[in-house]
Amino acid sequence: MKLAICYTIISAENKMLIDSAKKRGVELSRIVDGEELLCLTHREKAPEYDAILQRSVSFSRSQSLTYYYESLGTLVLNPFHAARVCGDKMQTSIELAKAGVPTPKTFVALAPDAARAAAAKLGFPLVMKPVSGSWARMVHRINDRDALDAALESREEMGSPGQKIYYLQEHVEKPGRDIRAFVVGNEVIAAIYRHSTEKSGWITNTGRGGTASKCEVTHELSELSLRAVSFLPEGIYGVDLMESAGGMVVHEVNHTTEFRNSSPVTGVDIGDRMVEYFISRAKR
Amino acid sequence: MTNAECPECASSISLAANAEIGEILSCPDCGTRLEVRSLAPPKLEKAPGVEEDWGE
Repeated sequence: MKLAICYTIISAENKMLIDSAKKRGVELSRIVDGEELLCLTHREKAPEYDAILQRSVSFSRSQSLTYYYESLGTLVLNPFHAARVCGDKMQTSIELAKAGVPTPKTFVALAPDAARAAAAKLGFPLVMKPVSGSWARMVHRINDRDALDAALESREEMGSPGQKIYYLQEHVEKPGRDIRAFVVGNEVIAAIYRHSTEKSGWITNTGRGGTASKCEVTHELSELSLRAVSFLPEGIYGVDLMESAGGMVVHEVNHTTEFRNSSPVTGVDIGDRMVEYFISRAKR
Repeated sequence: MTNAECPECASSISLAANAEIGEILSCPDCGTRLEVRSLAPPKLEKAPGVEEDWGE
């Protein structure tokens, strides 16, 4: 059985995954996404890999390579459909709502005037994000009409076409933290609180200065997190939730979840659990 | 352990025995973010900047 890991760069997570596989007696072949050359029409050989753990940090490369390898019959975790839905916040919100998962009220506007109309419905403060993006990049809490106009003008003047799709969401009052739950297969293996700090501002992302602490995986958290991936292929996900006054709500699902700050505080070797699952799926 | 040269300041940088192609490190002398591009021979290049579509 030939297993591989696909990546853009060797992040801390990718190194942990490679090391975990080694400890399990599996040497993962390396697929560096930027070095791949894909022949689409004249395939001369059988698939080179039985399964690929997709860890590309580049969403565009990840989508191309995942689609390509799946077309050869290779198992890719996570699958293309997962990346497509999770990588687009509009699709994620639609699917969460369809699945009956509590999620903040959200609009997508395709032009500034429509974004202002969405703001009139949501009220201030609100949260505005690009539909595609990560690490809380360009995620703004908009407190009033002036701030909205400034953010819209910046995106119109400097943004790429994708950034001119405005995803506007009700602002959820949360207790200075949110939750990341790690779903592996059909199980929630661990969860963390992500706390906002002086450095991160209102944002909780640990890559932006937020801090992590252990969150107990309660029945409620587990059940909600599994429902939040019920419309996705079985795989490995990071579900983001907020504790609102009315209960927990899900606002994002990540298909290439990071975990470097989460294993130490939860005591769960998240990378190893991912590798264990990946190998078991490859053997199915 | 092998050494590679920083492409920015020409310092000699030690690569760990388990270094991987694609690994990101910082030059201890000039602070430049570097990417391991080759192990044999060891070669470092300036690391790519974060792109708009990077994330989790």
